[in-house]
Amino acid sequence: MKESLEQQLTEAYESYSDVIYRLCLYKTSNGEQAEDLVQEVFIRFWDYLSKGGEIVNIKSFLYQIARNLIIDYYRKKKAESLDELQEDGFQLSGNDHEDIINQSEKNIAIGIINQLEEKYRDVVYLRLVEEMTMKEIGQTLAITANNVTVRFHRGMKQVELFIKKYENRSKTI
Amino acid sequence: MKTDQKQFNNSLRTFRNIRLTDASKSRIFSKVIAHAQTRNTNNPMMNPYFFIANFFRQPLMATLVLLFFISGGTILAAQVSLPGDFLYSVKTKITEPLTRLTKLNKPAQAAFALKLLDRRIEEMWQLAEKDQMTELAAKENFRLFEKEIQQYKQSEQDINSNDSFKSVAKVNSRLEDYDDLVSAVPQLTTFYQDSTKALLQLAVPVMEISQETSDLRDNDDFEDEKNSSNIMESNV
Repeated sequence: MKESLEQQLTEAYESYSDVIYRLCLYKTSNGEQAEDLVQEVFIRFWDYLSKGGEIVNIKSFLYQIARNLIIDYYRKKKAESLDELQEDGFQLSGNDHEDIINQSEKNIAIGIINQLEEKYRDVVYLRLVEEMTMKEIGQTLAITANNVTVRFHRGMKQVELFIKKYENRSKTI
Repeated sequence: MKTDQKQFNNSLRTFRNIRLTDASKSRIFSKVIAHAQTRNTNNPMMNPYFFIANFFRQPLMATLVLLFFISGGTILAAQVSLPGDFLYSVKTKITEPLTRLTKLNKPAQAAFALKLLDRRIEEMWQLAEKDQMTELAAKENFRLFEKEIQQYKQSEQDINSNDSFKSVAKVNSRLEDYDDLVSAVPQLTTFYQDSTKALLQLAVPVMEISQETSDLRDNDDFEDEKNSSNIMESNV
């Protein structure tokens, strides 16, 4: 029984550790903190398994643990409000639009996603970056698949607006 | 716009390719495994709701819980029972003796005895009002009343002489109340004659009162000594 649990843990870690790391990196913008959170996620995953807990969708379950830990992380941090951090976007320095342009390409998409309204943000991230299905996103965020679809489409409308805005500003620069 | 849409998509792909380094991955996994091995998976941690959930699954435990609530309900119902009722014996043979056990000192025991004396009187009044008084109920009630008088006297033995005057007054006033009650119930004519004699025997003799009165004549705290003397004179 114990071997089976360890095997489950190992398989989950091999399959989803990178996914969880990306989520934590996206939320915290800090590599070291993201690694610590990944460790904590799988420790809690193990604790749940060892208590005999049943898991329907491991990926969604790991995401839920990660999101809860990230919330706890921000509560403990108390440095800035979550909204202020997310308004600043995913960036290594500054808040200037020029900095977004000057940064490596991988930041642009995340920076734009972080400009979205909160209710669209996670849906768009999980769909575009992690390529989760609507059903999986619904299970992760505890909302219906229909709701996920609606939020994703509205979120993508906002992404297009930001891209247009970004294009206009880059032309003027 | 196409360029920027393309840029957006490329940046998504780039972010999607972010991975933990091999060293980080290995380091994190080692810590997770170390945590897993320190836990004893053969005895999973008790769910805080585990005991409650399983408690009620055990038929024996469930039966005990049911008995507890039934007995509690019985005791509560017994509190308002009267002589002749089915649950009256629960009150006089179980509840009241158990309560008496919780009275650890003499003053508390004496106060409890007085309380039971009042309760016996009240029970008789209630029976009379409901027109349920019988000689049998009255005799049972009187037997309990007499028992409480004895209990009270035993409890009062340790009280110093300054307070004995007051304590005598307390018990004698209850005797008077009981006598009045019994005399007021027409069904208890025979019982009244018997009980009156018994009540007289229960009362504290006048001689003892007189001695205490003379000792405490100049004490201002005992202004009611005359009242107590009047009660005893009427009994005699």
